[in-house]
Amino acid sequence: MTEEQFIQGIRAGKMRVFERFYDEYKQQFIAFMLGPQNVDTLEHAEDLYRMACAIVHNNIRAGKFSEKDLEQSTLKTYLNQVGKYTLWGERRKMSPPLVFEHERVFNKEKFDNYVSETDPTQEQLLILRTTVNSMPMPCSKVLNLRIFEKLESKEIARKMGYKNDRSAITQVHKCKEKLVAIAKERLNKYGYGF
Amino acid sequence: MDSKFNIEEQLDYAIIEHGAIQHLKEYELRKQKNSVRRQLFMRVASYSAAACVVLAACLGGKESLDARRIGGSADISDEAKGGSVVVALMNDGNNKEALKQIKELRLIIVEEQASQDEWSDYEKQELDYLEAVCLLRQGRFISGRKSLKVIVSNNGYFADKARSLLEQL
Repeated sequence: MTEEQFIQGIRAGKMRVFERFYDEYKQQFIAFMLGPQNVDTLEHAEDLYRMACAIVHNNIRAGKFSEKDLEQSTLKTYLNQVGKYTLWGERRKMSPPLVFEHERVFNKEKFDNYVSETDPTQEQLLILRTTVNSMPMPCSKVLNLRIFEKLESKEIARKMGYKNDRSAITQVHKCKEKLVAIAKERLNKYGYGF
Repeated sequence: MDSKFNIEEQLDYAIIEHGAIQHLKEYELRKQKNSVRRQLFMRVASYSAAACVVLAACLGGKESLDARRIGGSADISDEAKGGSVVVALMNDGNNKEALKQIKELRLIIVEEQASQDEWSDYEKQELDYLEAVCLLRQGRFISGRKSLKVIVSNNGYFADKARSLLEQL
């Protein structure tokens, strides 16, 4: 598959394409982490790779990295760079942004000290990630099907065993409200007004 | 301190990121399971293949012994016209040399047939029969049986003898 095809497939939410993308760059990324970046174990390098893939996936889906950005860097270079910043962030107890512009990953200054009113801070990112990661069932599953897998209500109802697609729509809505409420509560607790 | 970022949008991104990581972990597990399954299949397949080889060798060994026994008991005393040299060699247990002799005699047949017609049908068929017995005595079950079947289907002078040997095989 070409890099353009990877981008198009991931943007369309095709999981098979994402899996092929993951297999395609894995070996070279692990070698890059274990070699020049001095990552000590293979497990750690694999964790970083999954995280980097997830970030690149997110950026492609959010339209922050597209085919036109391939003129400036290949997908492989972009992935390695995201992995490198994730590792640096990890060593300084920093959480990488959820989405960011393509050029930001090639500008260390911008990546490290990016301060914008419309971007969450390090602490806020951590709160958001923790809130999502600790979401209980069935909300974690329902929101995953709707937002990550982009499934229609009918398909969600079938997978979750709901009576009809109306029930699925209601459930997605309730879960989303609940998640936002918990996140706001936690952010408020740490002094961020929402 | 007021926050200006879009919380719903950022939560969506966090859900997609979490989903992507979980998906990749599950994908890895799936691949590992498939790999274990493939290894298991390969192991079972290789054991089965080995068992088949052993079975074939055993059966082949048994067939070879049968061929030697039946070929050894075949009566070749009357067949001593064109193939007297061959019979002598076979009686000495020199089947390899006997087969070589049969080949040479056949060449002579081809060369002389047109001019003299010295070789009778009987003698030609005798060579075929002796060759079949020779093959059996060497333990070459499949080749011997094939030669005997040809003799039976031609229904010549040695068809009955060949049929009798085939029934024993």
